[in-house]
Amino acid sequence: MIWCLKGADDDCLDFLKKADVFKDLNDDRLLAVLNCAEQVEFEKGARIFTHGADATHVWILVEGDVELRSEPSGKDVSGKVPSVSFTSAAQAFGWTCFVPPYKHRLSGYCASRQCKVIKFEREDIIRLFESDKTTGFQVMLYLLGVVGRQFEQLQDEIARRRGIEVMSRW
Amino acid sequence: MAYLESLKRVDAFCALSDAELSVIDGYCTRKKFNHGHRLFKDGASAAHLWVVENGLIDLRFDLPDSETSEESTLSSVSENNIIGWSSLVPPYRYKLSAYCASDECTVVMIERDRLLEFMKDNQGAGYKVLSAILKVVGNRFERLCETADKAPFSPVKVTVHMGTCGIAAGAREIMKALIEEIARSGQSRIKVSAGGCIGRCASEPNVTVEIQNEKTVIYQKMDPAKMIRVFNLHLISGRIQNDLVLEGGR
Repeated sequence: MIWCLKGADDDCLDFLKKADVFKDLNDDRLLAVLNCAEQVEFEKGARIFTHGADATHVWILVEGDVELRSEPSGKDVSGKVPSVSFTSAAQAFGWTCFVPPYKHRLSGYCASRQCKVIKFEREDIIRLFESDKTTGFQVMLYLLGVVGRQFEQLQDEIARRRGIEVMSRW
Repeated sequence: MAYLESLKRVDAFCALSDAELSVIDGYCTRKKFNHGHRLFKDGASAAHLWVVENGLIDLRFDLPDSETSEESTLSSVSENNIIGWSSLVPPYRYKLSAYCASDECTVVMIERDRLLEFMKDNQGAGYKVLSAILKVVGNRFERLCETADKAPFSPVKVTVHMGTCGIAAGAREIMKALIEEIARSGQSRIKVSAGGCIGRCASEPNVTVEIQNEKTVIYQKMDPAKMIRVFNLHLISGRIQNDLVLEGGR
């Protein structure tokens, strides 16, 4: 189910403020963000974005959990063991839309009963950042933190497996 | 302005003006490390963003109660790249340990607090730096995803292409020189293999170098002396020998 947030009102601003990334922005800046935003809901198990597909949107999770999975073939590997799979501790996805070659590095699935997300088209959000560097700086700083958390989870997963490999050779 | 030129060569800072860079220059100090020395430890307070000026840095996870080894390397970072980007985001702790993997490394340490303060006061510059760092980290994230699919750990792989054309041009002598050099150096993390012709017969002998988390480089018209040079300067010290590159150099 999709409905547009454009045409701001207080409820919409409050909804936007639920996301950590925007909580420090003032109402004027939130209104500008709102003009680029669209709210989307997913049911459990639904794929939000696909590994290898063009990353055209940034996704901000407002409610629910998202599981990230490595699916290099682009196919759902539910029921199989993917090489990488973790429930994201971070609340933003699709940051690869800012990173060449602008493809998703992992697939994202709704892992809770329901996921509420706000999505932004890359071109719109970049235009906003270019015109308002304060918003751009704050969102980029937040996204770097998001990548950091996802990076750390991925490293931990690899380190755990590498550690097992190394220890099994002792 | 002791660091201006070094900062300009780094993706994270190259979009800044000289005036902006000269401010950051004031937050920098240079430090040298020898092979095996630790630059920082995982979990430690991340007080600096680091720029690798020379050499190769291994980023490793430390196993409890055991000495570090090349086997615990998750990625290697060469010159003109940043490490320690976790210094810019909460909880401001290094996520891995960093070790000098070449004979010697030179790094520039940028004070985190003053850099963050500068970016907050100059959000246009901050936006440029963070956008660039996001790209750098995003690429590392992708490579990290790729390594998750690779079972055997081999951070540096060298392939000597030994098709008929390669052998006729001297590939056997190159292989011999490479193996002797590896044996002399004791670098067990460098894996060597013989490959087939890559369809670039005019540039034989060709040698492909794959360093984990780095761009693959194909060298052309190699001979034993050039192989030893690539071994010492690229494989050990992380400096691509651009004048010998067929594909993948900068």
